[in-house]
Amino acid sequence: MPPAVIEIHGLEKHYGSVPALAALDLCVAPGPVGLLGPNGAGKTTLIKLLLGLLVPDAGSARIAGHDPATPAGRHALRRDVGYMPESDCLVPGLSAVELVTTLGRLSGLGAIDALTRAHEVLDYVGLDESRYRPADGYSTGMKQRLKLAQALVHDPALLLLDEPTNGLDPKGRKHMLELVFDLGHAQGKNILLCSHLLPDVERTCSDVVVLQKGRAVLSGSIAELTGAHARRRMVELAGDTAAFAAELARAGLAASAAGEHALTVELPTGAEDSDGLFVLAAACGARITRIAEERSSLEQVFLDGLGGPRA
Amino acid sequence: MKATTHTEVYRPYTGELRPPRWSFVPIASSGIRVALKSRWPLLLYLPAAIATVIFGFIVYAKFSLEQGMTPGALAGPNEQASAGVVLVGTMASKMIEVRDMIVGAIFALGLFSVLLVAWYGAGLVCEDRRVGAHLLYFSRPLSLANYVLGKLCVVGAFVLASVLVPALVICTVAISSSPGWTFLEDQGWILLHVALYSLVHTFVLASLVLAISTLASRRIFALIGTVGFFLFTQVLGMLLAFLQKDARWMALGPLANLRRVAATIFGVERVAGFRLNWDPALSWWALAGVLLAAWTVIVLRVKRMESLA
Repeated sequence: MPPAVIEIHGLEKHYGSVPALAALDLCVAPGPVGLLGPNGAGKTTLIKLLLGLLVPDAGSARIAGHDPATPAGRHALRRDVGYMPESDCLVPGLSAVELVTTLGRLSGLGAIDALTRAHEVLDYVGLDESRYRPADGYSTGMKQRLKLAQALVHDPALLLLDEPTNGLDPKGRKHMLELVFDLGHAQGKNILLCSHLLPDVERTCSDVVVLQKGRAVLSGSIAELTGAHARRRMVELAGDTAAFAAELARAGLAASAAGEHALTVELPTGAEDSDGLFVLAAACGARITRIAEERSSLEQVFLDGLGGPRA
Repeated sequence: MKATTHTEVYRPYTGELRPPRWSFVPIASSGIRVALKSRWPLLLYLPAAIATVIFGFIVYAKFSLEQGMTPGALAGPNEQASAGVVLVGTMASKMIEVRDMIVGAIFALGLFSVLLVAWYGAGLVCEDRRVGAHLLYFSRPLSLANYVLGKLCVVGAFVLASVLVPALVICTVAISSSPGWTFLEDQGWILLHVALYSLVHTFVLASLVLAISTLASRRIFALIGTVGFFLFTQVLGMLLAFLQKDARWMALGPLANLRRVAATIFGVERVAGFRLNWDPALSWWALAGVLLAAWTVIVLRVKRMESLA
């Protein structure tokens, strides 16, 4: 198993008496990872703690092998990490090229390298001639792409992206997600994608961490989490639904109503197919008309993790 | 159609990242570049340019008259200019020292220095905080000291130009007009005094505007605050000095203190139109106190900016 990119042990942060993070324990695997949570879950606080922009009340963290609690660790990790903040945060008056070049130089690039690199990453995010205009007048989509470019300028191994699709129209959002996907899957970047938009995470990330009230309530591979309910079957039938439900109960199978003539049935572990259901239906005089695998969406996993209602 | 250079393919960086030793340089250079994009504020240098020409000409006239040239000859064939030049020549014969001219220029430009420092320095920190740009800076290997130094260099460059350049131009005129460059041999120390005073002047004004900028929420408030602070302290000092019949009250104003310090550094006793009859040590102490307060504010506020970024 590859070493974790981010390790967090008992991390706590309070704003006054309000806990933002409550004894958070977490290991973030390499690759693109989504950090999901409702508003106020502590996502942005966690990112700022990881960058050493906030001081934790308790606990420790290691990010890209560095400890953000020490000045040397902060200094080193900020060289290895690219951060795309949620807010606009662009330096007034500077053009995209000037901004990215300046930030590249601050990250340790030489003057010429920083300029070359600025053009490369601006090409990559698709900011064309507008890169020479002051960024103050950019559209939201252009600002988001510029923020991604500045996070990439020093080619960091780990990217912390805070709501990268915030305020984007469908076309801009699609482009941004394509960039994030490419970085995470084709370029081999480790990404912590902070978002409250589940489809964005589902589309770009392989792993997910769900935060609620400062705690990690769910974490793991999206494929595994959404596949946890892969043994569920949606069964539609003609005949007595209640009798079929009773027959299932006698056989020890969990079932729940999913409509007037439909049930959701959970197959036993190790069951290779659904043939047994046909036998049980025949036993009570019912006839199965349709049977389909029910796979949870990330939204369902998210709601399950938060203890909310099922979709 | 896109140019072929627009590959839109991610290219990994194959070079080596070197820990930036002088991180303040990119901040300073980008800040100066942004400031220079707006041309109109450069008009604030116009008074400095005019003062430089006038005082420079007086210095030239002084050395020319010393070498036997008459005021009439100095004026040349232009009759309209003659009267003015004769007047200048008469003044030059009375104003004996080049250092008087430099101090005169510094005193005359004091208020414009305040306007310059307010214009170019007011938004440096508060605008970063307002738009959140400090998040971009502090998520990089950048120390607080380098951040503040970078900002100080931005405003410092503009203030320094308003003091150092006029003084150096006057010195250059003096050097080139003096017979056999005797000015350089006899009074070359003035150049060191120019450098020393320019640094003191720049450091005090730049520190104060940065402190005010860290306290303000918007640039306009910092601008008003800066101009208001200098004018208020100056007027208050003058008023109290007048009412109490005690010139030491003048030390309430940083601008008055800078003038007193300038007179001390250059060894000038009197400057027409300005009162200088208080102990210069008081001005040094007052400036030290103001600087201490300013830097305490800067350090606390910027540290808070980083930790709450």
